[in-house]
Amino acid sequence: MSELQPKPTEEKQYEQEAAQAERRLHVWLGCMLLTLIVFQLNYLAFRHYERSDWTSDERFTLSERTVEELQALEQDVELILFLGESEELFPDVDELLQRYRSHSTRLHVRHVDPDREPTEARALAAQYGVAVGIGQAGENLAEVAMVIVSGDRTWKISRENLVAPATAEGETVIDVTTERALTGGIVQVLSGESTTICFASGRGELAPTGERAAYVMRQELERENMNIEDLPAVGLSEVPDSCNAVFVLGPQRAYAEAEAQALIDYVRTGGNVLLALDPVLERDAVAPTGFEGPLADFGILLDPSIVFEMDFSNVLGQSPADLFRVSVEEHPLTDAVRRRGGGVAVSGSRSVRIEEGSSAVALLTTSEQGFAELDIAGLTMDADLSAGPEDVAGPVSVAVAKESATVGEEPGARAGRIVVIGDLQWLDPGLLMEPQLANFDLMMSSVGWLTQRDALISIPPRTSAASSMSMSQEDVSSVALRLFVVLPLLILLLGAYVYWTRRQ
Amino acid sequence: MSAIAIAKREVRAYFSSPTAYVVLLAWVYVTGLSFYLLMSFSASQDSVGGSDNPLTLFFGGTVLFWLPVLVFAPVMTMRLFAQERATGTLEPLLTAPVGEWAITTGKFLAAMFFWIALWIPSLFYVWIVTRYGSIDAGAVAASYLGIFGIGLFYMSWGMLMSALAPTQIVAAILCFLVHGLFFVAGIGQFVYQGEGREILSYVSVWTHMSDFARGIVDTRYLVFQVTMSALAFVLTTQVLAFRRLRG
Repeated sequence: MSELQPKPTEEKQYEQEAAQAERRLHVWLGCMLLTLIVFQLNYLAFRHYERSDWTSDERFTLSERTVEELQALEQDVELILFLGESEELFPDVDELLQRYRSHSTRLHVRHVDPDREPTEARALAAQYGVAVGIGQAGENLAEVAMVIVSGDRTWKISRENLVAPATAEGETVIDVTTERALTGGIVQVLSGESTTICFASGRGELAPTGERAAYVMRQELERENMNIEDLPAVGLSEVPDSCNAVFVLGPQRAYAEAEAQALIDYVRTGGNVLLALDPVLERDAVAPTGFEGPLADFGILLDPSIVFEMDFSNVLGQSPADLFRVSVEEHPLTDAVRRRGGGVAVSGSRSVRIEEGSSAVALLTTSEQGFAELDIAGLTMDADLSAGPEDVAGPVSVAVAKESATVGEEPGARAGRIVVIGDLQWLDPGLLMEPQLANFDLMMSSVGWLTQRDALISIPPRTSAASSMSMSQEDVSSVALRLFVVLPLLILLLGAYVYWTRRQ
Repeated sequence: MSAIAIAKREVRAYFSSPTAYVVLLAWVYVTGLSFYLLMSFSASQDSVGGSDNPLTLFFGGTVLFWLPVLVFAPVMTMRLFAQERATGTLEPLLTAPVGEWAITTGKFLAAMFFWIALWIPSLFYVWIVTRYGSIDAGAVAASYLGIFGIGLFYMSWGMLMSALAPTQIVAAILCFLVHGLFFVAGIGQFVYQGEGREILSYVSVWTHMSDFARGIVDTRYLVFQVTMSALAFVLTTQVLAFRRLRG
């Protein structure tokens, strides 16, 4: 029997080996478990991530407006990117889409390169009515850069919508064109309603197209999916129901009082009107616009004046009337403008006052040193520029807003809204695109307030703090000396010091 | 405490030998050359601002960053365990009353110390750029955060390869293979489409660094670098545990 029993040393060795094997198994299982956990963590991180922008000018930060829109997404939105990877636009758009996705899991991006996946691209293009053609280098090219899809609604974004207009040399402006197009597109596919803006014409007004075109405004309205219609002002007696708002931008000839009255009546009955009435000079006087009487009855006084800003810290142009910054007053319309800061610039403006007891609110005012000159004929080159007893003393309001009483008692009844600005130059593309000013924000806020749409894609241009490098050839040589002689010498000295101290 | 003692011993041994200074000198010449080329390029441009300044390009914007990193990282980590084995000091270390975790932590801290030391001269490059233009302090800080993250990843996997390999050369080759694999996988994002492209972009250290260098800090990259480093770290301790079991 004793021969059948294992020897004690063998038994011990066997137990040791078993223990070792068990421990090895534990180690293996532990490693596999850890690997699984690491994969799981990475999967979660891959799906839910955040991208924070550490740059001083926040060049990779989405605007507040875009973030709000993305965080409010309640339904899935798919962005189908048709750009080829070899296209110049691709890296920037791709980076921007990553930022968008980090704010919402509702947003899904699908990229199809028509040149590398022609079959899939053509199938998708056919599904969404996108043409695919041949580019200059023989590559497959989709006619649009992107299609945004949500449910059965789609919105297409062309390449032109993603490219910013050329900036002046040396100007460092952060490009928000693509962001505007993308956020605008997302708003489009989610909002069912479309709004129509009617541009009054026939009295020399700024039109959406043509010689005197408000092209920046038109571009932004189109981005908002707003329809733009022409509204002949000559003989106007009633504003058509199709107009959600009427814009009268800088008429060069006076309106007939009946035409002006029709527009004010439109406001009284729940309509919305933007009047940009800059002073038109005729025979040493400011020509009447035709709106003076109807506006006065509505509690707004349109002066035949020219405003001067005598606080020269606000003057941006050559003279006190030429181009100056005005203060933005408190009003729901100006919330975003005030948040942004920078002020609004106007040029050659007239004063627009509020009649006593009127519910109108001033939007833009000059400083206390500003005044509105009523005696235009008395203005000569060598005249002393100061407010006379007849003139309007500062602070002078150059823009006002008023809401009419609500019409009707049925639910959803709206009050009419009017914004009167005694200037047209504030809509100059140069001022709208100037990052230091809030003219763009005022334009978008005015459109939003007048169309009674709170959510507008007001993404203003921003400046970059980045400055250019300035180096001569001598500087380059000096850099070489520092890099290849001074720095290695320092390391050698450090090594020698360590060697010397160790020997000591 | 024993981990700190091991780290100190490693650092002292390394910086007392001429190898550290030869490696540092070589590193300074190679990275200095790439920085010089980028500065010369900037000098020839009319206006270089924002994301196109030489520092952004230097910190991962071009392949010039990766060539020296891919070569030097294995050189720095190959000796961590493989040299101990070659000189016969690994067995005494494993039989000493020090846990595998302490050994691994000490070695890893030493490797990270040297990795950071490698990048200290690059502060000189930052200073040079400030002399001829402005820098974005946020973007520079993000670049160094990215370098730290890449360091965690490269040093930990290099350490694991050194623990696995029988010799320093094999350790360097294995380490180069692992780093090269991730690097090439990252380049694969330009080949594949759809989800595959996104996954490859996720593991691409080049993509990570080019974003960090522009001032973008993405949680995906941080999670990838930290978790992958933790994985390699734990695997290294387990390799040591195996060796200890084997006696």
